[in-house]
Parts: sequence; C-alpha cells; structure tokens
Amino acid sequence: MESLKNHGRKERLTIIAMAVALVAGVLLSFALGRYPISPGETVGILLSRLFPIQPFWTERMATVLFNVRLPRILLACLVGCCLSSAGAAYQGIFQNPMAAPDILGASSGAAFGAALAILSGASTRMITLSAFFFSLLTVALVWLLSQRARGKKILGLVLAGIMVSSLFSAGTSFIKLVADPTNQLPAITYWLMGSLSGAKMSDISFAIIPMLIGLIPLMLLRWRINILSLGDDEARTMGVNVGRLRLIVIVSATLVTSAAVAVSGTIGWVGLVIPHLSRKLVGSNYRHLMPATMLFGALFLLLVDNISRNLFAVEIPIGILTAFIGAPFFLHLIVKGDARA
Amino acid sequence: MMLEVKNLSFSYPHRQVLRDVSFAVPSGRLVSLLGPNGTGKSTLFRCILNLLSGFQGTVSIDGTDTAQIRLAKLARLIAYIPQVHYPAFNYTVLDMVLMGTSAGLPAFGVPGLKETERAYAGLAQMGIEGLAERNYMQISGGEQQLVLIARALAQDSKLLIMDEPTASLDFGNQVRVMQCIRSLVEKGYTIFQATHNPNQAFAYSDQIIAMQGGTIIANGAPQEVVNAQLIDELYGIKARVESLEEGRIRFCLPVEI
Repeated sequence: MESLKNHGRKERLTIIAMAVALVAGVLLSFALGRYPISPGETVGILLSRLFPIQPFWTERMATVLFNVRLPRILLACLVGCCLSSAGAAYQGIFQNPMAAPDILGASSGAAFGAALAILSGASTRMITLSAFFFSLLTVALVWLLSQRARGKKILGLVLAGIMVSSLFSAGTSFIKLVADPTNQLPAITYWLMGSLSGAKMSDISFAIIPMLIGLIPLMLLRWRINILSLGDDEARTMGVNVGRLRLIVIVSATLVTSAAVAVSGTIGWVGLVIPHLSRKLVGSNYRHLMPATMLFGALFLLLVDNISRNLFAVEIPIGILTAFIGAPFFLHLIVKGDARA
Repeated sequence: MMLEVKNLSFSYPHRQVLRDVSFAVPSGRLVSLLGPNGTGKSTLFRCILNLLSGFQGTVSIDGTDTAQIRLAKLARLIAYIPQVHYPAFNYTVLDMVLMGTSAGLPAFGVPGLKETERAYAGLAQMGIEGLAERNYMQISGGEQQLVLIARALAQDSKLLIMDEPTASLDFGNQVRVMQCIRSLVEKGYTIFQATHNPNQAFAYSDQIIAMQGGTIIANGAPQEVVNAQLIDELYGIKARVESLEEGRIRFCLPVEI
C-alpha cells in the first residue's frame, strides 16, 4: 500500500524546508550588522576554519564574526528553539494550547535569581548561574506542592505554578524596591526585558549542556506527548505510564526553559506563538510538531534578533520586539486563520 | 478473553461507592451494565481498568489478577473506549487511531508501517477508512465514536470496555454504532459496556448487569432480567416492556408522561 508510506510526507517536506530556511537565515545573519561583512566573505571565513583558504578578508572581520556574531546567532537559535519546544511540550501535557514555557514559574524564578544576584553585586557569570538555579528551584517547588494537592493533578500543577510564580514576582519587586536606583535597578530592569546583546561563547558553553539534556528527551518522546494530551485516564488505558512520562517531559522542558531564560532574560511570546504557528504548518501530531517547532522557533528568534540589532540606532531588547511582533501576528491568525489548528 | 470481578468494594473518603460487586463477562459476549446516574458505574470501570487503586477484591482476566499485570501489558488485554470528547488539539483520524498502538512500541518508538497497517485495519473494521486523513474535530459525533473504537482495535486487545458509547449520538448514529459494536462481538471480541438505554440492552446484549446503590441487583439474559419491576427499581419510573415482530424485538417504554 503506497498510501501508507506517504502518510506524513507533506509534513516531513515542510520540516526539511524549515531546516533549509534556518541555514539560509544563519548565513544571512552573519552578514548583517554595523560592521559590514559580505555573504561571500562570511562563507570564506567560516570555511577557512576547516579548509586552508587564502584570506580575502581582514583579520578584524574574522574577529567580529567569531567573537560577536557567531555567539549571538547561536544563542538566538538555541533560545528560540528551547522556548518554543518547551512551550509545545507544556501545551501537550497540560492539554492546553495557551500554556507557555513559564507556566510552572521558570521565568519568575529566574528573574528573582537574577535580581538577587545583581543586588548582591555578583559577576555576570554569577547572575546567569543564580537565574538558572532559582528557575529550577521554583519549578521543583511547584512540582512538590502539586504532589500534595488533592484532586486533579494537572489543575494542582497549574495553580501551584501561578501561586509560586506570583510569590517570586513579589520577591523580585521587593528587590527592585531596595536596589540602588543608579546602577542596580537599571540592570535588573534591563535583564527582565530580555536581551541577547553581549552574547559570548561562554554563555553558550554554559547553556548548551542543560539545553541538550532537555531537548533530546523531548525529541525522543515527542510522539508520546500526543497520548498525554488526551488526558490521564485515556493515556493510562493505552499503556502509558502517565506520571513518569509527565515528570520526564516537565524536567526536560524546565531544563531548556531555565537555561534559555538564564542567558537571555525573559523573552515572552515565543513559546506560545511558535508552537501555534507550527501547528498551522505541520498539524498537531507531535511527531512532526516538535521538530518543526524547534526549527521554527530558532528561525523566528534569529530573525527578530536581527531586527533588534540592526533596525534602529539603539538596540531594542528582543523581549520587547517579540511582543510587538508576536501579539499582532497572533491576533491576525486568530481572526484570519484557517481551522486546522 | 474473560473478565471476572470478585468481591469488589471501593470507598472514597467518607463515601462507599461499590459494595461487594461480583460478576463475570464471558468470552465473546456483549454484556451491558444498566444503572442510574451516580450509582458507581464509572467507578467500577475505573477499577476494572486499573485507573483506581485501593479497592478491595480482585479483577482478573482469564484468571490473572490485573493488579499483577504491567501497564503496557494490560493495555494489550483491555482497551477502553471513552465517550466522544474533544481533545485539546486537532489530530487527524489516522493519528488518533495510531495512538492506540503505543503499548506495543518501545519507549522512544514512533509508529511505523506495521502500526499504520494495524490502524487502517481498525478503521476498515468500522467501515471508515475513508476518513483516515480527515481531522478528528471535523467529523460527526457518530464517526468520532467509531474512530475511538477503531483506536481500541488497533490497540490489539480483545476485551473492550465502553462507557456509554452512544451517549451523545443521534438516533441513527446510535443504531449504526451499536451495529458496529455487535459485529465486533461476532468476530470474537468481548465487550462490556455501560448504557442508559434499556432498549439497547434488549437489542444487542447477551447479558445484562443491573447496578443500584453500588451493588448488583440483577444479572442475566435480557429477556429474563429486564422487566417493569427492574426499571422501577433502577430508575424509579413506571414502564412497560412489550414485544413486536413475534417477540423478536422487545422494548421498554415509560408509561408516566
């Protein structure tokens, strides 16, 4: 039966097209910036690391490319990929298309951790670490509280998430209140806006490990998230160990969210909008949705970051832009969109 | 595939739901469970499906206690067919049916050609292969119920538990879905369903179990068990049980209007 093999072919082709678009987007992004480097020079500089090529570019170009643009491009892609896939995963396990990566408090925990570190005058490295640590701590707290809640597990999780989030948000507000208004307060405010500026290779080498530890299980277990989205009872009667699978998905999604937020600050909208758009393109089946969301999220944040660093004389924090672009786009789709998703 | 429930009791805190329930569903039969709302039918199903723990008594399949069977193994023995509902996401019919094949797959597995064939076979048994690529949310309620049954068939278990499979269907779809269910019994499946319609019990069932207040008050062949007195005991209304077509069709009608 030929038709059986063709099932999902269109979706696979869409995913391949997205991967190609992402590669093209990355190459294009190298060329964009204050300091002009042509696409030809970009490819030459990149290939020169692998092959002996006579340089037809300046040493300065190579430095800008490797030390400034490469980490920033990589970080934009990784953060976009992580936030979107975590959003998609949470939407599946909470059976709710409106769930976002910070539904369990990952962002407010990270914000509190970062604010606390800035208040105590810690180094950039310590701010990142503190954000990551508090982000994980918050979600762990939410999980433990929800285990003690009576009634429906999922509702308990969401409610505990809301409560603990607001607790940490209040903590962040308090830190802002007592922070030195000349230097600490602006630093906290800027961190909360979310930005990829000043990305360094060390950020990536820090974040990549928790990101991979989270992304790999999400990718491997993606098809089973479909079954979780039908509800606990149905999933169990189909032989799925619901409690264990949900815990693995939550831990994975939390790791990638926390790592992303720790290095980029709170970038909203991506985790909500991208899975939704991906559903329009490849349907709801997580088998295709997860890879599509990862690629699309990476591409989206890369493009928005290009706008953020190139469009205006002063860089606009990416968190503001994702909302400016994401919200109207989302509204347009709700009003004009087709019925597929 | 024989289902046996022995001395099953279950209590929520401060409220006993099931009291010493014992019965058997013989292999290759369609057994219907009648009972008013809130009498513990769903709780009984949840115990049978191992969704509730902490009950007294045993549930066994072909003599093996289900408490001793691993989750994935149990899924290949019993399949559950819920009432038509709306999932959070709009899956295609084929994707929906494929989810039934998960019990036979490794943890990181995705369904392949073999599973897809099984899913199509399930759809074909229900006569709805043509819907495979359609969206589950955009087909009729009757078709959705058939999709959920096809998913249970793809799950490869021979014992099917159905919770009011025709609850939200129109008159014609009720008959069509029940005909499909009956055809499965003829193919050797064992089916235990809850129903609110005594006439379905007459038309399609081999055996009726009537439950009231968490205990079984009648158990036997439909024509022997279902009478005006039972309807009164179960639902508290006066009804008459009559025959048509020389007794070939029996039905029950309320006489209080």
